[in-house]
Amino acid sequence: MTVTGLAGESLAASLTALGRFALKRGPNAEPRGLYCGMGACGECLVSVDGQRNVRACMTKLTPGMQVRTCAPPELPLARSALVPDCRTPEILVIGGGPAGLRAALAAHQAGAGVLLVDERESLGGQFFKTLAPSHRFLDAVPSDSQFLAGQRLREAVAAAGVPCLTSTLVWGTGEGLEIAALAGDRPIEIRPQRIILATGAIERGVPLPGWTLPGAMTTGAAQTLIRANRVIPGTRIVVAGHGPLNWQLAAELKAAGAQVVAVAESSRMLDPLRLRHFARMLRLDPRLTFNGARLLVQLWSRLSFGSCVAAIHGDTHVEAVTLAAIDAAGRPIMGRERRLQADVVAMGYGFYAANELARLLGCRHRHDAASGGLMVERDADGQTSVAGVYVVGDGARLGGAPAAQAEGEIAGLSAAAALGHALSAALLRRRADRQRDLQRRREFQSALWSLFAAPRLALQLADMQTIICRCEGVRRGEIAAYLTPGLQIGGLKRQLRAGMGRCQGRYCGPLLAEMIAAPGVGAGEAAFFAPRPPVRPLPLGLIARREP
Amino acid sequence: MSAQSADVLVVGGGILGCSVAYYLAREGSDVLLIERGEINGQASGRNAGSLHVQMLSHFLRQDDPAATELAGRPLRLHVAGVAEWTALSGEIPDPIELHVDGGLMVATNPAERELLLQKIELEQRLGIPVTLLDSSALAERAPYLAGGTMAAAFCSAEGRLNPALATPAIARAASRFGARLSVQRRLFGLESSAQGFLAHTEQGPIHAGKVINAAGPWGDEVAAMLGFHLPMERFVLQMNVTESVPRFLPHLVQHVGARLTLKQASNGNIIIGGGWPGRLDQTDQPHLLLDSIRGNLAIACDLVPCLSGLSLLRSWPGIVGRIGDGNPVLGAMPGMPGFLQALAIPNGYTLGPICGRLVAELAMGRAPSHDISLFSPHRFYH
Repeated sequence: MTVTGLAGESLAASLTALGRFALKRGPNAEPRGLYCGMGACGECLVSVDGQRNVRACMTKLTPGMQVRTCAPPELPLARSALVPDCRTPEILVIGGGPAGLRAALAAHQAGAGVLLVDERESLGGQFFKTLAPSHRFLDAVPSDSQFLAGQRLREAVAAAGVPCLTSTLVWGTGEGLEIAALAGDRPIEIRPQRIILATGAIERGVPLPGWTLPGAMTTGAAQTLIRANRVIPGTRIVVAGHGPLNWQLAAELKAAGAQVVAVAESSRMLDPLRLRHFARMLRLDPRLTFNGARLLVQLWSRLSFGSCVAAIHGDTHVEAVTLAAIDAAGRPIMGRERRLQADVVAMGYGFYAANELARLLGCRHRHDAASGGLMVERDADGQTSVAGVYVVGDGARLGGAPAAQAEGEIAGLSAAAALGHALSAALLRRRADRQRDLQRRREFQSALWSLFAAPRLALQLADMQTIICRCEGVRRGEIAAYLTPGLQIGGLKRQLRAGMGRCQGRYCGPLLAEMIAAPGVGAGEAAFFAPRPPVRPLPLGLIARREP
Repeated sequence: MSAQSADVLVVGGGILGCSVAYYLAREGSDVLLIERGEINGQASGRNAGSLHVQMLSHFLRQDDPAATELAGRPLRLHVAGVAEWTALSGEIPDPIELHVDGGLMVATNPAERELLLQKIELEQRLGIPVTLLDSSALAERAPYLAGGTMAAAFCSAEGRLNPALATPAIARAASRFGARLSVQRRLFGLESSAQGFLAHTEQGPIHAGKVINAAGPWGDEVAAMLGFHLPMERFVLQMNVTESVPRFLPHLVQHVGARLTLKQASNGNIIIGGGWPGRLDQTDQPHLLLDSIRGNLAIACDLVPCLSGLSLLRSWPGIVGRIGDGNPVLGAMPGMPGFLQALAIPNGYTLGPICGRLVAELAMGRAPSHDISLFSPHRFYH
């Protein structure tokens, strides 16, 4: 097809703007489309200029690009194995979002030799999304504080001269702290003395009937379309999920002129008993709390509390949704449900830490009741059970961008100090300030999530026909039928192929762990898929290396 | 906790243990199988599913023809092993994705071709169905190979199956014949008694007339419980799997001069291995080595160039073992006729059902249907 769009916007944005939602075929040849919007799920793969398996959400549109659907696979292109570059920074920071940028900057200011790497073309991560290059010179440049803060931080990192490698994907870890990465098509080996992981989070997938239809995507994917690319997905949009991020998306869509037909919020935060949490938030961060209250007012007519999208309908793309109230256990209450016409559903039910690298490096984790995923164990500086490895930001514990920045700064300074770079009085003061600030941020988060307390949705919406493993098309009923006492997740994977696909078990893994765990018992680390390289699927030819 | 009893206790729920249990239960024996983890949880569920017949390249010793000759002796058992798998796939109800479409062992330079000729000569003498394909025949038979690939040995008896499905399928078939399978049950002691054996497990004692050691790489630990030393080495091998693509590669492909096996699974994924080492830590946990991933993929891409554009989805490690000469260890320990070894490592998946059947025959007091004198545990206790 001919893609017309603005040079520099994501391919996913161009295609969405054209109304093209179905991008590839699923395991049973059913249409699939943009889902995670952050390069993790593999649902938006297209073929670009003959190269297969290109993620539309992570690729910028350039003039003359030949874009084709990827299935059936074409004959693969041969690539040559290259000799790697070797880098030996004192401190390697992986991830260029709020936490990673702060960590790299702080460690650099403390005198450490730093290298920051990030998978994306530009720094900022999911939170400080940069405006796509297609819009950088237009009047539409946003002026909201989130954009401006991101821009200032990026400029500070650049002005300080912190060495950064963008478009650089870390795919594996070796002995010591060896890190294997690809900078574009170029292999790089990095042997740092300290590693600060700031890999962020991925959205939790909550399976429900129809959630694999093109047009059903995560809140993050929809937000990248509207915020970074200025593309409104679809014409009638339903937003569903838990927490203020969904509200922010809905407000941004409305402000851009989109028709948001409903916002389903799973918490019953209007409960008067929760007013004290609101009061705490107001005391701890009046500005953020005020912004939240303003969203509530803006969205008032569209918001329904204690509810969810219980099913998504359509043949080849989203056509309608069923909105239903949920009970205290998160189960949909049927009988008073409503059906709404919609062509896009954005869903955000919280996050899992993106902990692939921390787990590959052997950092100890424990079950996280809030997400149902795993949470890394670490000390006050962010250092994990593996000496020299730090984890900061949402990749460790969901706390939002301000807390992530404080954690990044603390870990950056601590790691530099541990390498013998004595911290100046000013830096010591800054670290103490950040520690106090972090405490306050955490109290704010605690108040926020008390206000938004809701049953954690995981499997409550899935019926036996609902797909749990998107990549391999494994349904809940097949999994339920195979569950026996003593079964482990490895056996389930081998027998049913759940978790064997392109997302590498990111979305179904925690759900399977929950299905296997005894009721009421939190799943331990062994209940999750073992961490395996590569961290993202990569062409063999880029990993291969002949022995010397 | 009250004691359980069984005529035969099988220790280990890998391919050997499940096969022994199947053949015994099929003949009406009273079998209890215990497994400390889950069925098929270790090497049996993690190997690449190759059905090997041709002699692996590291056994070919140009400098030592006598050693090569010796290493060739078990090959006939491999032919029987593939035949047993084929028969079994017709007997058990669940699919195991078995295909015997032949295997190629490829040579890419004149020295490797020499080695290949030597190997073919030895194998043909042993009655193994192997033929030499020169480069033009190869280009026709295997167009996916890199242009100019010099020669290959083709063995019609080689193939592949899906080990993730096959072991549980055999375990289920054994259960249907009445075998009892008890998982998450660790054995921590074995003693022999006048009536047979007493096994101590976390979930209570078991009285057994006979005990079959099918603990794979941990078989030495089970043997040691009754005072026998087996010279076991444990090590880690790595495997890699690509995304799924339409079928284009029907053979098991190996390399005579380099560590490589590759094949396309029924699902379309390419599985790449070939004996690349991982690392075992002090707590017996396996880890991957990056250089083994890189090196293995380089050989695969050199030999089958179109692979280089496919995505690697996952690499994984598995623990394997090797006892002394590396041949299977089958049969009773000296002076203890009721304690039978069913250990076929490190290349045991091909040999699983045949060795399971042979040990089951021994346990039932029958003469084994193949000559297994070469594999007797007595060889370690002169």
